[in-house]
Amino acid sequence: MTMKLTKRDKILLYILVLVLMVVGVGYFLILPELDEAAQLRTQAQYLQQDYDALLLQQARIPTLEAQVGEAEAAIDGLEEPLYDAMTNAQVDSLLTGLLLSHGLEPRQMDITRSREALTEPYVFSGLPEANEKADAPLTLTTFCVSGSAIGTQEQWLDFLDTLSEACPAIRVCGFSLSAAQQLEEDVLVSVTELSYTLELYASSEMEAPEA
Amino acid sequence: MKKLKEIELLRRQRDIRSSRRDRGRRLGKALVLLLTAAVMLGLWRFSAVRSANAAREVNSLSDAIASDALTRDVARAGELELWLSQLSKAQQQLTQQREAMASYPTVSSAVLERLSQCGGEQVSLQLTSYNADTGLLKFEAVTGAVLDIPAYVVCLTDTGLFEQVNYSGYDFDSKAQVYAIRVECYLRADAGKAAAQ
Repeated sequence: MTMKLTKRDKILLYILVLVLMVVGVGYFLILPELDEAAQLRTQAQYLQQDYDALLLQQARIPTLEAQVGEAEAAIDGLEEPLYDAMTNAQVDSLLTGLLLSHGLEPRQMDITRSREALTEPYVFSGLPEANEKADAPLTLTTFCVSGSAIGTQEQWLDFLDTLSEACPAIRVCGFSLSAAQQLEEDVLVSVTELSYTLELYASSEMEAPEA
Repeated sequence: MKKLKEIELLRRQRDIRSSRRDRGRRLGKALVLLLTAAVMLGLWRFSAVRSANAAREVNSLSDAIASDALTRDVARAGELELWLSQLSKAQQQLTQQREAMASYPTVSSAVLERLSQCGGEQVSLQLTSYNADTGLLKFEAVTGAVLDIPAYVVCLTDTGLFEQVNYSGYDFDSKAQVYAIRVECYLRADAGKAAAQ
């Protein structure tokens, strides 16, 4: 069976073919490509931003190294009055030596090491300050030393003078002087017993990143 | 007969012209179809090229970001930044610590000497205790002259060494025949340093 197409039908068919071609190619070929290109361009923009940020970070290395150098030098300066990293035995040796050199007879000493908090500044209140928990110090070790010794008030004051003049990294937290008796050649003699609490500050190393 | 031939010729001529016109129209239509197809394919090709270019750009940026040198440098910069922040914190802590250490009064022989000057020869002094947290300096002051006590307490206040001088009276020791002065003194932050100067 054959169908006779009129001229008008043929024109309509022709236009339909044209439209189908335009729509088909546009919808199935061009639009997906345009979508993909747009997505890739957006991705490229984000990547470019990331890349720029990384380049900026890379370019900051010399400045950061210079700043690290300055900070390390500043820390060295601030640590100058502190003792170098010490062991309990070294603290004992230092303080016992100081006591003996001032004629004081050490009787007892307790040393504890702490890196828990910084010293609170002195604010007169008439009451002991409640220390708030702060961040642990990074480059500072505090040795709390308490003990007792036998000696005179003058010897003790002499010892305190030495601490205030020559040992800026030792702080006297408190002391008390009381009368006591001790046996000397089978005879009880009156002496002054000094109980003290000191804090000794020493620096400690931080672990630097490898270059 | 001649007329009939002429008519036949004219018809043929007309048919030939008509068939030429039809062929021309068909050619024109085919050309339009071809041109449309060419334009559409050209557009497709153009968009494909653009998409390929974008893909190439994405790949090259990804390669650059993942490059060993850049990764190493960025990691180093991160480490340095972290180290710098730790150093800044340590610096701040050390400054704070030094300021705190310097804020405490200093109990020294100069302080005791200044206190002794108040009492002169009448009052004898014996240190008892010191608490740095509160600044409380305790000492036993004894005198034989009860009338000198108020002046002695005023003098202690005037030394400028104390934030507060709490005087609460005296007790007579009948055995030693002296008066023990009950006084509590809270040191100023600059005490000891000022006395030393």
